[in-house]
Amino acid sequence: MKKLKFIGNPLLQSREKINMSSDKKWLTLKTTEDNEEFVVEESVAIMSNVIKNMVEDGCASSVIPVPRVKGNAMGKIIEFCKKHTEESDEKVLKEFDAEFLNLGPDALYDLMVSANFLEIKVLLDSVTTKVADMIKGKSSEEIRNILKIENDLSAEEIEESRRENCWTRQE
Amino acid sequence: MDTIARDTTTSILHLPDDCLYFIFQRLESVFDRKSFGLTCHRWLFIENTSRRSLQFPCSFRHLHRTSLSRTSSTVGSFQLYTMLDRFQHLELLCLSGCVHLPDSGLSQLQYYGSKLQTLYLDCSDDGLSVVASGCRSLKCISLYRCNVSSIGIEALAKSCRALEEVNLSYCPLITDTGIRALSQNCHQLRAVRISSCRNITGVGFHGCPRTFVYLEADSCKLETEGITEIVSGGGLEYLNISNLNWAVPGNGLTIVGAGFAKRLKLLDFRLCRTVTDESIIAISRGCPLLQEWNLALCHEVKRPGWESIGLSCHKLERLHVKRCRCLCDRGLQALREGCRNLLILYVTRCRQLSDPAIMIFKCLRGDVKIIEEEVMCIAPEWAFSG
Repeated sequence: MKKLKFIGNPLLQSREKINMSSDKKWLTLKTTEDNEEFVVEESVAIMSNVIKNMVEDGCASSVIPVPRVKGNAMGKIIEFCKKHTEESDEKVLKEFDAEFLNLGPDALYDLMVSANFLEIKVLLDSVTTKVADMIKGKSSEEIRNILKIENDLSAEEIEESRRENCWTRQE
Repeated sequence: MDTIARDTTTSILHLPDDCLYFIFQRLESVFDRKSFGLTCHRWLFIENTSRRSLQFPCSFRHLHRTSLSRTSSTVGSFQLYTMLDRFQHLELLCLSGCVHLPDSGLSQLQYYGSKLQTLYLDCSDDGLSVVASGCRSLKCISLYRCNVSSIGIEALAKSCRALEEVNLSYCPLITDTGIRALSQNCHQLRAVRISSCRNITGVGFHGCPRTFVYLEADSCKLETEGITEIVSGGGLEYLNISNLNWAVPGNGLTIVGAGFAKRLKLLDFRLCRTVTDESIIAISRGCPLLQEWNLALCHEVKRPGWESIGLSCHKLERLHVKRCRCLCDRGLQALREGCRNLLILYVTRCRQLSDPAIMIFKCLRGDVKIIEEEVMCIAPEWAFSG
């Protein structure tokens, strides 16, 4: 049986069901990788430029298939978009983002790829900033250790690159 | 399709290049960007292809304390080649001050210069013609103090038709022929600097486009016909002809008020000692948008001139009258009673102004700030990006 998720307060579900037939528009997003369905308000869904274009071009049917994004990432993305649609106070949003992005690297990368794919600029900006912060102030070797990257540059290449860097002005 | 494997640890290397570029762009400090680049090949590639501007420590453009203390690392042809080969998406390149780089070294720009939009050079005509053929996307070029003549400028103008900003300050060999080539080939020409170019009279600006809004021509030997051509485009908003050579008779500037320069907002006549009342009257009537006018040391402006400014310069916000010998109390009164939008008056050492007159001005025009310090340059920030 397919899982159908309502994003909203469960106590208000019955009221939401009534609202579904009134002025608010609702969309169903279905992640094709694991067949999870999410019912969201159109105003929340169109934070994704990809979905926004589909809606504006009239291509969006009742169920929008979303490839490449897994169910749990989708859930988190919708949670983010909903908060950013409802809340306008910058300070509150900042605190929310900090809490929201308190994730391990795997989950952060997943989010980044999905946000990039769905073209959700606000989310992409937040996640990339968070990942960049992990790198800031660290030497190349420290970066490699933390992020488990293999060093495929030879000692010569590194030396050459360092020497060239000295020729240029610090900007 | 790249799927993130669920059974192994996700690595940052699974991210597509797009995402890595975004992360790189969030790194602001030079240290972080260089650490990023030295992590692995792929990240080095991202650093190299992200770089949009390149300057050398010897460049004049921005003096920096580190460049002053650094022992001169000479930039020669080899260094330039290495940099151009490594950073292939440059849009800005600053080579001014690279005195050890011969013109022949610039030949590499024929292969690597197609994306360049802004270029600061230290070269002669030979170098310039090479640059012209390789850098057709150029929008902004600086040839400050270069040994280039009109021949080089013609080659440049015919090849780089997208040019918008050209700095030819202190290039003594350039004549109107070079300027004409720019006016007639570069249809987006916006800003030109010809400070101290003593062989330009201004007639070369004939046919300049309407997009031409900014001219820095201080300490030049312009002629009356030249002034006419300079304003002929109809779009000029900033004109600096301070320290104009005496070749232009006092009323030669009357043409500025004849109707072509309706869009003029900032006018610098500092040290134009011969500008007459006739010109002042014409300009105050013919340039209704004038916001700032520098008339410091314009000794021939007398009461009729000041009265005209008071009467007609409705949008004037800043006026410079330092050391104007013929600004008398009645002239100041005319300014006080007119110029409703005046915000700042730069005034000091005007022999004919009495202290009471200045006091009255301050009392009755409390909305106007009186400043005694001299301002040498009234160029707006929007004019020149370089």
